[in-house]
Amino acid sequence: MSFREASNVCLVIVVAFFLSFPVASTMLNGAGLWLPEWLEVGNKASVLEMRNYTVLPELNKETIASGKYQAQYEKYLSDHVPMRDEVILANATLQRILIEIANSPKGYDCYPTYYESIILYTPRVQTLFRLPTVLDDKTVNTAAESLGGLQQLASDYPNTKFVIYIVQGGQYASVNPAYKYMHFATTGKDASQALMAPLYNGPSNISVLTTKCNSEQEYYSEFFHTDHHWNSKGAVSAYNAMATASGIPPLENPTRTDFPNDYLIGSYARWGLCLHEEPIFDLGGNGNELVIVNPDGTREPYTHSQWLDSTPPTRWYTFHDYFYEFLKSGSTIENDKANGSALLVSDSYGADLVPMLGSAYHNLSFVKDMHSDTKIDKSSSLRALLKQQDYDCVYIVASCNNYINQSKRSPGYFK
Amino acid sequence: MAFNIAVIGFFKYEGFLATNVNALLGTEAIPDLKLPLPIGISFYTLQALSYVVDVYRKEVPPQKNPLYLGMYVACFPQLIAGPIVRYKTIQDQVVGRKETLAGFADGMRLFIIGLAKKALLANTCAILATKMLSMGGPQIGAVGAWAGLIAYTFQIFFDFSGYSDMAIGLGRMMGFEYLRNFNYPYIAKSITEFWRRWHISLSTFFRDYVYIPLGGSRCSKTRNALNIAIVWAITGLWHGAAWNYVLWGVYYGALLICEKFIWGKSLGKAPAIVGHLYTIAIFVFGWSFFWITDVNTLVGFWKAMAGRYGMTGSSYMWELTAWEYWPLLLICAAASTPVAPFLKERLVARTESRKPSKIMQDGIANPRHLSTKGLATLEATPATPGRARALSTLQVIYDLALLALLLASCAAIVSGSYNPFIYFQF
Repeated sequence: MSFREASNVCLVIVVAFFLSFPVASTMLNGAGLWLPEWLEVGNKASVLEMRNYTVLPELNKETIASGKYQAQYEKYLSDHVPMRDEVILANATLQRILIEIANSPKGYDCYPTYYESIILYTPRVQTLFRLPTVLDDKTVNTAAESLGGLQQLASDYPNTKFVIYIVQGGQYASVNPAYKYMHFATTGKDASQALMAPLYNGPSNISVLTTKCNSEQEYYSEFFHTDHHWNSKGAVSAYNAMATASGIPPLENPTRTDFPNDYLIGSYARWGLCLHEEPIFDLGGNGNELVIVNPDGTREPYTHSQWLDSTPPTRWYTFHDYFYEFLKSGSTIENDKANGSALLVSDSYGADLVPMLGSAYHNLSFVKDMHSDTKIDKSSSLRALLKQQDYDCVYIVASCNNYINQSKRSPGYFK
Repeated sequence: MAFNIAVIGFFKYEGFLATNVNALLGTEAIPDLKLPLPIGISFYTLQALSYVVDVYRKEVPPQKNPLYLGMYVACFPQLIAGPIVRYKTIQDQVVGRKETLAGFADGMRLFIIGLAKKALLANTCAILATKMLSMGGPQIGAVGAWAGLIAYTFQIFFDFSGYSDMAIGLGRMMGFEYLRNFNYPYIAKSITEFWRRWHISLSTFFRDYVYIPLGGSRCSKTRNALNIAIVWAITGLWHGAAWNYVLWGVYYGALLICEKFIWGKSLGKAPAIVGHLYTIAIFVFGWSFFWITDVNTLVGFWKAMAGRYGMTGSSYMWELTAWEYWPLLLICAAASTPVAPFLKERLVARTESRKPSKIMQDGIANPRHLSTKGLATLEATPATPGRARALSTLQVIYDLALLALLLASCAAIVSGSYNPFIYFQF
């Protein structure tokens, strides 16, 4: 055999093996034959993507005719490639190297990543920022006018405290290094100030708060590097600020537990994959006396460790996932060891606050009305919620963007 | 022929016809059935048509075995995205082809190159192109508009030529020698030459089965110009059932007419760089018709290209997005020229201590050179053991590079299915 023939044979064998391997290993695995762990493809959930893998689709006439079978089978094969996580991470590493090379001539300290770049990667601090959202004055002013309706609401409910918290995370963080590249007047900091301005001179039962981070270091002690949400420390800071405003006990020296479990490392940013490891800790021990009353009336105890065993395994090391993912809007959290009642209207930032606020009140009503994807009835409003029940305090917690979106979706929501 | 044309007409153009006739008449005379388009219908229909016409013209004997005929029409490598294979080019191969290890391996090499073009270059260019072209002219300004269009230019080339390479490679693995479908079109010095290098199987199809039967160039100038216009209107319509594609076809038809009758000779005498720049500007601009289907958006985009909204538009945040792609665009620019095969030939020639062969250069310089032999191989006839060892080393390095490309391509494809549960947008 000549060398050329030998090289042809080698190439054919290697490529054929490589291309047939995913299907073959799936079949071997399915047949129950032993495979090394790193080749096993039977994992039910992805740690990297925080989701369950696609299962084999059901084969019938309807699924074939609609194309659902074919589409799901393709996803099934994609999900069950051996060493899939390692392949994705390797690809992400290569991309990060290419990005650094590409941006070195300009010396950018932050730049978008590949894949639908809305998240910026800052090599200097190993961080992701979202691309700053450009807000024009008209949009912000309209939202401020809508939010300003709270003045009337607060006047009509003088015995209820209103605590409005505007979160400056991600694309609204005033410390976002990408702002230097913008030449729009209205940025995150300006937008939050504009939103709050109409409420400063309002009734005395309104408190307006926002995130105060004067440096990147301060920001990243309270917000994730790899996501725009606050971490446990940031949630506690926000809670304590709100507690001071509403007169409930702040959380002092919370117990922190370190988790060595890889599942709890926070880095799920799809388009970043900056491979940065977050500090893993949890504020354990709070809220164990809570009972969740679902909208349908069923009751279940809140068990803090429940989310540790959830499937797919949660990535967050706070109670964020549990209360974001599983807590239904319209639920009530009950605590027999506390007094008073409160209403929490929020987006995803509010999820972290549920156990802390739930511990401070006898009952806490939770409404996800500030989510941008919530299908909100245009006639719904805070006033309608307040008519249902008397509250000692109403907490409204959301990002800048969601206040603006809310004012667009339901202009009368705050009136 | 009527049956073939009726099939593609029904599935592909029924909706287009219905929309336009109804708009013209102000009624709902023709119902829009919203038919799903059978995959690959545009390609295998033309293949079937070419067979029928060639048999009619007695250029090929009819294939009596329905299985062989079915294999020719529905051979899976080129079924979905071409190249459009003429029966006369493979009639001997249908029955008498030989599958060899060398052919199989060479086909595999070409397949890997095609896969890399698609997965690594085309898909990544698509991200930049989509981002720029969907932002709207006023936001991105002239620089952003041209950057997006250039990215789309590369996307469409590597997407299409990548698929063609994969199809040709798969065919080679089965013993078929398909003809080349792309011969470095972006190095053309005129639009006439461009269309001899781009989607060769399609342009030759319309030349042989529409243009020449209409009279071709063997008629008056007026008639010749009309023939060109008809062919290119049909070519545009073939690409898609929408007016922007017809406009695209008419755009090229008009330019080809102008080159043939007005400035073609002057262009031929001009320095090569003039021809290159002229051709690049035309085909890059031409892709804007392909991407943008809405007239208002298209006009806005053209304004942006002309600098109407300034160089950077209303926000130069896009610059942060686009800047990371410059290495990719450089690689794409190099990959769309024959730099790689020239270097390969020089390296092999040096290994063999001979002068570089002119065959490769001639093959690239001549748009009509359609053979795909040598596209993915290191051809050599070493005469001494020393040269054999050097060439063996080169072969190993080449194959390892191809394997690395295969790994990177597969990693890119797997990563493309990365689909985490995300709520970052909340």
